[in-house]
Amino acid sequence: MKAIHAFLHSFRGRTARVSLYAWMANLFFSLLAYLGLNRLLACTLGDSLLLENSQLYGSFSVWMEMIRHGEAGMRLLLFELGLLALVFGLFSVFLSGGIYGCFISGKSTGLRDFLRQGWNAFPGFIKLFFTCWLVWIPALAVCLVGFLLLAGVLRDSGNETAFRWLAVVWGGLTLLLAGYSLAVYDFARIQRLGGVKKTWESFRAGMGFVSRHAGAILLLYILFLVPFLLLFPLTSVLDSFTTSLPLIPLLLVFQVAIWLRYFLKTVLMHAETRLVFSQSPVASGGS
Amino acid sequence: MGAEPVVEYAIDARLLPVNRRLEATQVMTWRNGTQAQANTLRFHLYYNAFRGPDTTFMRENGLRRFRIREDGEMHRYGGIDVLEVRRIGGGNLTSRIAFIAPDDGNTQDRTVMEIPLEKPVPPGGQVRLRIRFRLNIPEIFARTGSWRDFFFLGQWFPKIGVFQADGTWHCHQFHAHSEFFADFGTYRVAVTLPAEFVVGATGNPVSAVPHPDGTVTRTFAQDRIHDFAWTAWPRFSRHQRNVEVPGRDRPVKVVLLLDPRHGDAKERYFNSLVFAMRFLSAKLFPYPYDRITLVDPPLPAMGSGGMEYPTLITVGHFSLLPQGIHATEMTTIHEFGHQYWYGLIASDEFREAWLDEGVTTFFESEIMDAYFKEKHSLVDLPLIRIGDGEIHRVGLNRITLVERVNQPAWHFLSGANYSNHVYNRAAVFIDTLKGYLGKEKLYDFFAQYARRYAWRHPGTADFMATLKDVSRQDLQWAFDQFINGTSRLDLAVDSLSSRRRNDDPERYCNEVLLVRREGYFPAEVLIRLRNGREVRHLWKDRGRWKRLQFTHESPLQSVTIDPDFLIPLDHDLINNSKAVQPSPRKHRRLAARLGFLFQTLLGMLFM
Repeated sequence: MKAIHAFLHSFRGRTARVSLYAWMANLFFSLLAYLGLNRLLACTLGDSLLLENSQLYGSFSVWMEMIRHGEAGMRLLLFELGLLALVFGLFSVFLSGGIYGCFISGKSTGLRDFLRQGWNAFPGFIKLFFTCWLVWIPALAVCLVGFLLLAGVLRDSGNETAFRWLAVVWGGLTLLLAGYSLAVYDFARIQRLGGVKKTWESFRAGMGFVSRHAGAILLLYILFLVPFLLLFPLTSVLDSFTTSLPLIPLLLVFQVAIWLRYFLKTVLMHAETRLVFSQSPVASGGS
Repeated sequence: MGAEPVVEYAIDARLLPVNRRLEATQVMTWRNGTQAQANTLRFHLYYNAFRGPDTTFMRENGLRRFRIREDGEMHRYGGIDVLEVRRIGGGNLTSRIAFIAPDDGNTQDRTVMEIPLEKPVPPGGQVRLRIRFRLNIPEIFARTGSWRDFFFLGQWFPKIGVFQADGTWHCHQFHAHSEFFADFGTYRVAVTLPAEFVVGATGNPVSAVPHPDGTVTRTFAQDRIHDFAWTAWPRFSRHQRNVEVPGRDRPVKVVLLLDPRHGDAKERYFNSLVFAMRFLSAKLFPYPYDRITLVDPPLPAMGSGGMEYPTLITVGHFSLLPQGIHATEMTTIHEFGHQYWYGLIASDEFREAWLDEGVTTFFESEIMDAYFKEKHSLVDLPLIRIGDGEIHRVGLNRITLVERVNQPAWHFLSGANYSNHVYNRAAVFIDTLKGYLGKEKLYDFFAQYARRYAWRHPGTADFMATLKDVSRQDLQWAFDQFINGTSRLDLAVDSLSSRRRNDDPERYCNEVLLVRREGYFPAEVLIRLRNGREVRHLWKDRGRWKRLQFTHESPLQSVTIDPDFLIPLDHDLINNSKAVQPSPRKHRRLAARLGFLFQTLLGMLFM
């Protein structure tokens, strides 16, 4: 019940406001993708009517033509976007510092405070970020190697049914591990801002909290994931209905969809802080 | 339809599954149907391709290090040992056996055996031989062999070559990328093996005689075929249906030997096979044999899958693939297509492989598009749709060095070049002929060609001659470029412009420049004017460029070469069209969608 309460009480103006900052950062980083892709397509297609004739040629053929002709430009753009994604991954550590900082401190969610909170939290969060990776990469690698070995044995045995079940089990385990590691990362960051100074101790405190409140956290994640995942089919339905929509309204629809995802994520982050501080009256700050 | 059988085989074989060996005696009668005297006999010993790392097959496949698997274990090699050759009514020829390598001189290759005869076979004469041989069955990786207790025996017996009118033998070595060629004949094969094995084979079952030692002798027979393959596995789940085929007075027995773990594929196999059989029976001539056997090998033995033999095909199914990927149907339809284009119209797979692979691949797309939806026929998933023919065009465009399609299989630069030419370039060429002649005319040609050459061995010249007869057009120019030559085809709109006339500002001087960057093929050109009018022009003159100029009250809007996409052979579709003022709307929408995808991915990175 605490999880439901925390989640429902996180739909508020403060959450919406900080989610806007995250969305704006995302949009800023994505501009290169929009512009680069537009430039690449314009250069590849020139004044050809290839796209207009995609029904005639088949969409796969059209893609293959574009890839064949724009291969060099595409490689460069993919490299640029990969680099951009890497930088954004690190920048998101700063963003999460701002969001958790605003929620935990209970101070204003104005841009200046948001940036200050992000700045203050960044050194601690980046250490936690790398610590989590250092811990979970070997765990994932062990899972993967185990899977590959078992898959090799099953392939040689010709038992496709077992092979299929192995894939399902491995997929489930990976999801669980990913969910668990994300939860630990989230709660370790909250612990860090809640007063635990050392990285490793924050990490352990995060793990401890997740272990003690696994049920509530699982419920919280389900509450988040259901609407979050529903946004994907909703967006593609919207997209298919907007074939006649002019470009600007189409882009606006896309941005609303992206912002909604950030909003749901910040609602989750807010609910996580409520969950922590409802357990610990001493550290209760926040919203 | 068809010629007299040249050869008769009666083979008695005993499979020793524990030892992975087969011991057999073959009585073969060969008739010399030529006007030349045969002083020697030549046989294919295909199984010797798996004898060791230095055979021509292994070298060309780049498998010289094949003996060591990734897990460090040894792969099992195999081979065929001819123990004795006797001329019935004559002497023992065993000591005369020699191994020759007519294609590459590889002394390590023993896939062609030559036996000089003490008494030649005169024109119209015949020779009967009794050959005792033993197989060491290799681990399956290419068509034949065994995996645990699964056995697939293809190209497994000493098979006589084809004696040609000029008195020479057509008997090539086993190459990495070549298939097979043989005379039509009669086969009667008896296999003795443990009774628990479920057996499938070319032809019809004749008898099954159990023995007190727990074995059974199963005999199969078929006439008017040119090869024989069989399989045995205790775990096969056997299904059989009688299928009515228009034009036949009795049903065809369709036998499916299924890996029991592939229950989900049973109906897919049956339905696609029956569809293909009825399609080709209606378009060419009714399937003439009483039986067809489909063999669905287990996953680790997939090396034997996707192959054709007379009245028996091996298919393949991978349960993990979603149903929207129609690989199971595609393989079934393709391999069944070979019952005609290889089995009945038995072209030379060594020297002119395009005649069976290219034609079969063309019909594969035709049947897939009729069975499923065009442009969805190979992959029909929510976000990805691919037509079967689209894949062949992609293969064509992957060719970096164009070679002659019509050349011996082992002359191609690589395996990829072989398949992209022989399967894809040839199939797309025929698809282009369909656009040029019209579907009805092309199908009429194939029907006549198939009927004319059923149970015969047509070559490219026969194909072209029949096409000329039926279409009443000489298409030599097309074959010279794309089958016997190395041209690509690339037609392009180079430029277009409209300007007001000085003397009449209400009218425009419109100009379109079309260029043939590579190759020649007549094409229709669609000219769209800004006022909505459309003008079609047939561009058929052979010059490298064509300037179209005309005066009209409306300026140009766009120009498209081949607006109905009848020339899939055209290498580049982007330069096939041009607009005066291109609307960026489509590019921008696509860029917006891709950008949104990237933005979503970035959102996933936010943790």
